[in-house]
Amino acid sequence: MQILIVDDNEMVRRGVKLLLSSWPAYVVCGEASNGKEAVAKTQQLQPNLILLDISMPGSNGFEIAVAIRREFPAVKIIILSQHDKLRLLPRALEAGADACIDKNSLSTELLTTIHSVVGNADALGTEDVP
Amino acid sequence: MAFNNDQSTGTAARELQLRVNERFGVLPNFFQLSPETPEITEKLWGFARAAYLDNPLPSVFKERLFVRLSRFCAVRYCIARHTGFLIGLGRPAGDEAARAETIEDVVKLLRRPLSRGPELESYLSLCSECPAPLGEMPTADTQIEDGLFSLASHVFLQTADAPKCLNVLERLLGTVRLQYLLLFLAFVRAAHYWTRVHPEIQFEDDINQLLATNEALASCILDDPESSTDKVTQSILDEIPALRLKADKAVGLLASIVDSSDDAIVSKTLDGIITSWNHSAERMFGYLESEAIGQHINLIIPDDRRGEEATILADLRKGKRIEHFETIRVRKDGTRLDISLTISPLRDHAGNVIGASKVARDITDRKRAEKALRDTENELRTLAESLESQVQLRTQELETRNTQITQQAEQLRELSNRLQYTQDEERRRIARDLHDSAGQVVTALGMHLSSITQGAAEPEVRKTVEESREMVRQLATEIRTVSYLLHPPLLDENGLPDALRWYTEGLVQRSDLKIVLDISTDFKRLPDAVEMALFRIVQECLTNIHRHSRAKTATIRLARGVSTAVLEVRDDGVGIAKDTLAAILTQRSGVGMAGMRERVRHLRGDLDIQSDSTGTTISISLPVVTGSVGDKEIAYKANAAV
Repeated sequence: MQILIVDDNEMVRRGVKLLLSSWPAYVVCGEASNGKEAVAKTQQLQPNLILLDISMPGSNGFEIAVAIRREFPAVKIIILSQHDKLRLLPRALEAGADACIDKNSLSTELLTTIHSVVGNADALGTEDVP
Repeated sequence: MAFNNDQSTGTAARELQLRVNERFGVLPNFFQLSPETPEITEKLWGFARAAYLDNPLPSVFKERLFVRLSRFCAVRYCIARHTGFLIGLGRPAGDEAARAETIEDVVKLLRRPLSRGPELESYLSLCSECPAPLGEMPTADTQIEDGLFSLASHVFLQTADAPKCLNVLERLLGTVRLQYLLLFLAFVRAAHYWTRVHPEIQFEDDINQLLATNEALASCILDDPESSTDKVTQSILDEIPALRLKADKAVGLLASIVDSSDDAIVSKTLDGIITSWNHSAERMFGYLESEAIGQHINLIIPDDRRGEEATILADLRKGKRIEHFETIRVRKDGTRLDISLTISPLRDHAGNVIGASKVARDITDRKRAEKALRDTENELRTLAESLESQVQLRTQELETRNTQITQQAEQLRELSNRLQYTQDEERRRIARDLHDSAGQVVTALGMHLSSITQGAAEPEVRKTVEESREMVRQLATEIRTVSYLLHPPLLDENGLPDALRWYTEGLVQRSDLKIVLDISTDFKRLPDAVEMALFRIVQECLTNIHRHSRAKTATIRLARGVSTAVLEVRDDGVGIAKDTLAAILTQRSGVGMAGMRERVRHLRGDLDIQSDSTGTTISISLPVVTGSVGDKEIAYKANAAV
């Protein structure tokens, strides 16, 4: 599975890559640090899944989600946010996202959420298992 | 003028004597006194006829009056002759028809004294009060005749009472009869005079015989004890010492009044020479009477006032009186004194102005008092003016200061608003920094630890890393909470209701307070500044309730008016102490409250605090200019500009 990581914070991107590296099926095909780059990389790399940070300087994550969804209806989008997931979820779904993860819970929820979004039931059981 | 010769004179005189004799029935010697000048006798006869004989007054009345008046003539001829006519020796007033009187009647008439003093007054009263004018002239020996004769006697003698007697006579007789009476008196006077200038006149024989045979009558006529002119004169002379004494007493009294007067009384001639100088003048001016009398009045007039004296003297010569003339005089020792002068002209018996009396009152004290009063008034006026200008100056200063203070207060308020705005913005920035920077790093750290956990073979290491990851997770939560409290991102993203819900839920978790949120469903987005203000106010209120009120429940009601946003925060706590509330209301206390108040004031809103033992209610109303959610920036600016 080709995954595009979109976050302006390089440390967050590295963290996400580290978490994903424990699961060989998930391949990070590219990284973007702003909305414009995200759209370009999506067009260029055709990823199956985009991990999209909602708050980046100069761009609104919801708007990027809407734009990408319009062009790539099949791509899965998981919104990453520093905010409370429950408050964010309605707007994330409205913008065409498939799920929403509180960044504070990334280390525990990233893999399960991806599994849930891509429908890889097997993966669920192996969460957090190298 | 031509004189007659002896022959013709003798003829004319004889013819006249015949006519006189024919009229009187006798020939009185009166008409034979100047045989050489028959024309004079003729004129006397003419006068006698006109004034006496043909005078329309009753004959007996005239004759009795003639007798009565003749008592005042030193020459006894008239009284004797006319007494004779009256008793029938000849005819009374040359009237054949007139009835002769008895000797007793005449004696009675002759014994009547001249009425004077009270007796005259009683006659004057009588004649003034009886009906007038008299229809008939009074008959003989009546009270009214006696009164009339008395009044006529005074007129005849020209006594001091003559004028009033004349007035009464005029009333009594009427003008025509009075004129005849006066004409008669004139003739009697002429007759008396004529006899006095002809002392050689002799009684006629019939009179000599009458007197020789009637002792009482002779006594009355020849030895009249009271009624001759000489006697009247003598009686007046007799009164002179008493009058003089009276006058002296009056003068003495006047002199003592003058001397005892507190006013200086000075008299002077029209040339200004001092003629009298009383004790007060001595005291007032310092000159003794002996020093002053004979000196010129300039003695006490200062050089610069000499002109006054000429004016005063000129006025005096015209008979003018000068009253309360305030001027300055000089004492013997050279000191000046303020005086008030009253100057009256002095006249001689003929009414000519011969000098002046001056009454001078020392008004130095009064003048001094007046000056003191004037000075005091001036001082007070100056003081008042100075005070007024000081007050004006002070008022200006105060106004300026007030303006400055108002400006400073306005500047302070503006600064306070800027501070609040800056504080809000800073909080927002710090919150974002905390959240985005520190928060991201912590997030990354958490993921790294997670990765290490996954790769760790040693259970010990794995456990330690797990614990570290949990600590990082807590740290991230803390950072987020702190960041949200600094500036809730929901306020920007979702608006006030969501931000309040998030905040109150957090507070409920952190405290025992129950919070009821009552937000109207139509409560939409408001300008940023308004949302921020309301959020902060709720935050402040709830912090206060949590810390101080001991309330169990707080109720927050948020609603929209037509052009306002209305917030009410109520608690069921113990209320704010009265003095604390007073201090809060007068802005002397409560920093949090003051901040709240400033936010409301800046947005031109109203804030009200009601508090008692059942709790506290804070009500806030903020105007909302725009209803458009999408035009927040414009709305904010508009609100701030209101």
